[in-house]
Amino acid sequence: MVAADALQSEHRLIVAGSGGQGILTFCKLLCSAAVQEGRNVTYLPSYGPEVRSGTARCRVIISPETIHSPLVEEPDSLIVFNQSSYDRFAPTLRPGGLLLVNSSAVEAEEGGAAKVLALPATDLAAEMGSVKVANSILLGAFVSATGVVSEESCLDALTEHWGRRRADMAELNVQALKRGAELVVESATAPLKGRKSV
Amino acid sequence: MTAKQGEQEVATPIYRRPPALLDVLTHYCPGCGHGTMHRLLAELLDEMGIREQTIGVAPVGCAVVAYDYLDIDWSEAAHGRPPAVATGLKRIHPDKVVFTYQGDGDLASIGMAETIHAANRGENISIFFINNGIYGMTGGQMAPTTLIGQKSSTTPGGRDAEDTGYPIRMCELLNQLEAPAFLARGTLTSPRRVRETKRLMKKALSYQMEKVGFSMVEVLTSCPTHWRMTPGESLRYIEQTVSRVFPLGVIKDVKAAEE
Amino acid sequence: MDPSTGVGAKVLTSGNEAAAEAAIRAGCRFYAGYPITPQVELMAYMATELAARGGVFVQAESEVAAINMIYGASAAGARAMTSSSSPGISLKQEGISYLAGSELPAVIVNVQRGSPGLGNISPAQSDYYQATRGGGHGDYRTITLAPATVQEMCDLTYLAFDLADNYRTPVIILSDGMVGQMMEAVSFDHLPEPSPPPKPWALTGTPGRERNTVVSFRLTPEDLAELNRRLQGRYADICRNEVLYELAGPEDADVLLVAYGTAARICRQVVERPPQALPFKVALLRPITLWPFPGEALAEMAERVKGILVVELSAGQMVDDVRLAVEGRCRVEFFGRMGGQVPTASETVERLVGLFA
Repeated sequence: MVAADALQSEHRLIVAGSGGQGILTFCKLLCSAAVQEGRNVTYLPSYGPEVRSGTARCRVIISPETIHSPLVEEPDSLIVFNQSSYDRFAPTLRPGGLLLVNSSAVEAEEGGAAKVLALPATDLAAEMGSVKVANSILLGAFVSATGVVSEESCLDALTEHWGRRRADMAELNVQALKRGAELVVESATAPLKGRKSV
Repeated sequence: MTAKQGEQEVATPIYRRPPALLDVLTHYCPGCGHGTMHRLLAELLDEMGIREQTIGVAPVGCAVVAYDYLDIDWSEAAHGRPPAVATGLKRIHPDKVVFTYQGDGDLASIGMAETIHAANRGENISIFFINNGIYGMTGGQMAPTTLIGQKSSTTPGGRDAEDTGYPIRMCELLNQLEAPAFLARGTLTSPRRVRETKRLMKKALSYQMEKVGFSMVEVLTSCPTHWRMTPGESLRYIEQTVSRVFPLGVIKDVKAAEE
Repeated sequence: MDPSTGVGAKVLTSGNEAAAEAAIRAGCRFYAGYPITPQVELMAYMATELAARGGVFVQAESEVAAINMIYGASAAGARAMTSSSSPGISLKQEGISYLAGSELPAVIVNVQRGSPGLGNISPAQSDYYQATRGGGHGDYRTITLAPATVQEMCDLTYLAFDLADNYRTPVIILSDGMVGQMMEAVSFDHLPEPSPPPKPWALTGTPGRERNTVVSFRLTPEDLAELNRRLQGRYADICRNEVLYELAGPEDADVLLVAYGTAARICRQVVERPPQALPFKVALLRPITLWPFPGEALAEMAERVKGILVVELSAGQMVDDVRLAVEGRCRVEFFGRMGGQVPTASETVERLVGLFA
């Protein structure tokens, strides 16, 4: 469900991992969904010389207002796909912000000021048939946890994206996104924390 | 033969300026090959009826103001870049005839990359490559086509292969590529050679009009001024020496290969 | 050019792709380029879209060949464009000088990266001198447009084609890796159908008219002086007619920020929603045309403020133009980041407070 206040306020996030983990696709889909909902976005990738591996990170701002600086100094949410990204960016998270980690690859510390949501996305994705959909699992979880955009807009963006590129991957990504969203709802009574807590 | 004209008897002209050749004095030195080459081009533009659909690209070098001599649309190009400029022109006007007119420094030294890649793309243009083995306009420096032992202001003791490498045979070099349709070399040392060169140039332009593809005609010409020879001596030098290094004839003709 | 206006047919697009799409909509018929980060998306978009929509795409063998292909296509009468990033733009300078000398329109996009030399692929603004002073040899200028948003990558690229044709001059889009790589929601639907002016000077073959020549060569000093006088007259017209800038913030500001492109976005953040409270009022003047430079507007502002802080992703280049315009009317300070670093809004506030509080 999309909370009314989520639509009214600005949300700044950093998504980071290694190249090939679908970091940029995660952000592109999130931004497409937000644009579809009539909001402003900035999507600022850090581009490296590597095509595979290396670091991939993207700063995203979603806002009802005009966005000036696209830099994100203190993110409201941090989504990390690997350990080095966690180590680097966790200290920048706004107090009370959301830390969403791929616990298949990240050992997140207990405690701290953040709300921690840990999903073993890579393992779950492998169970579903392809590690490549780990990013869709985390996207579903992020959207469900924050309501920054609606799950429907996200599904539309995802279907459109994969439909144009690899139609055979579209359905699996849809399932992955839904899975991620469900896991967050299920965890609402028992908060997820730490490694492999689902 | 004579004809009556009033009281005066005048000779019936056996030489006329082709209409495409503008009635101006050229700046070329006595014995330079550019004059003959311009005339051959003008004759072909008229004979083939393509003067009004042809765009020329002039080089940097002695022929820099070739656009002052032929009555067609012309573009200049930065030194060595005529094939790139011609690419832009031809891609916008695929049904016009586009040619470049380039010397050896322009085509085979500073513009080597543009030459090779235009040829390799099979751009449907014609290049007329005037090879006199010297930088003429700047005062007689070594060109990429200067012969071993040939003196120039930058090879005062004669070109030394150990120091400066060897003369580049452009037709043979381009013949390593798949795309070119027609590559040939002629010269202007005798009326027979001039007629043969004109035939090669005509073939190049015809192939372009038939959209057969990239064509280049290299023409060995003289530079009596910087070769420090009389015009007669320089023609003999081409026949006896230069054409041994740069063999005359058709190097590649895709249509002949088909036949 | 506010990305928040005109909700509707907006699409999520990168700056590089927005420039390419706008060029096609502006009637660009010819593109030639050479791969270099961070502008490759522009080239790839052209490879797919321009060819599919009736234009010509050529992957050139070099930056030098690309700019000279543009020269040929423009001489042929077509709207033509190339793009590159800093080192590649350096290679194109001879060709840009020839375009200026031959009075040929062309649009050249520079998605700037860290320099000098090979530098790096991060955003920078260190090609300001090169873009605004002509860049190559000779007494010429190039209109230089500085987009700050992805929407402006679209709108200013479209405008560049009109300016190039109207003044028969090359126009530079001076972008950077951040604006080029970034994605924002962009509208293209407001762009009108292009209406390029007639080009009686173009090379089209000669039926029914005198022959045309497109040349910059003038052997006699008298003739070359005449060409230069014509160019300078045109540049004076451009300075009179084409200055673009944006003012933001309170009219009674104490301190004026001056910045363009990416740096201007950071400064606008400081003006509109500063991360820390400021003890004085701050406004922003954002040049949109870097040449012609909005010197008159700046001189006027300099009468009213206590001081000016120029912010650039460079060691300080535009600050020279600011000082020339201000002529000592007020204090002019500089804050810059080099090597591909981008200053944050917090850092900018700190510098402002340190200098002017």
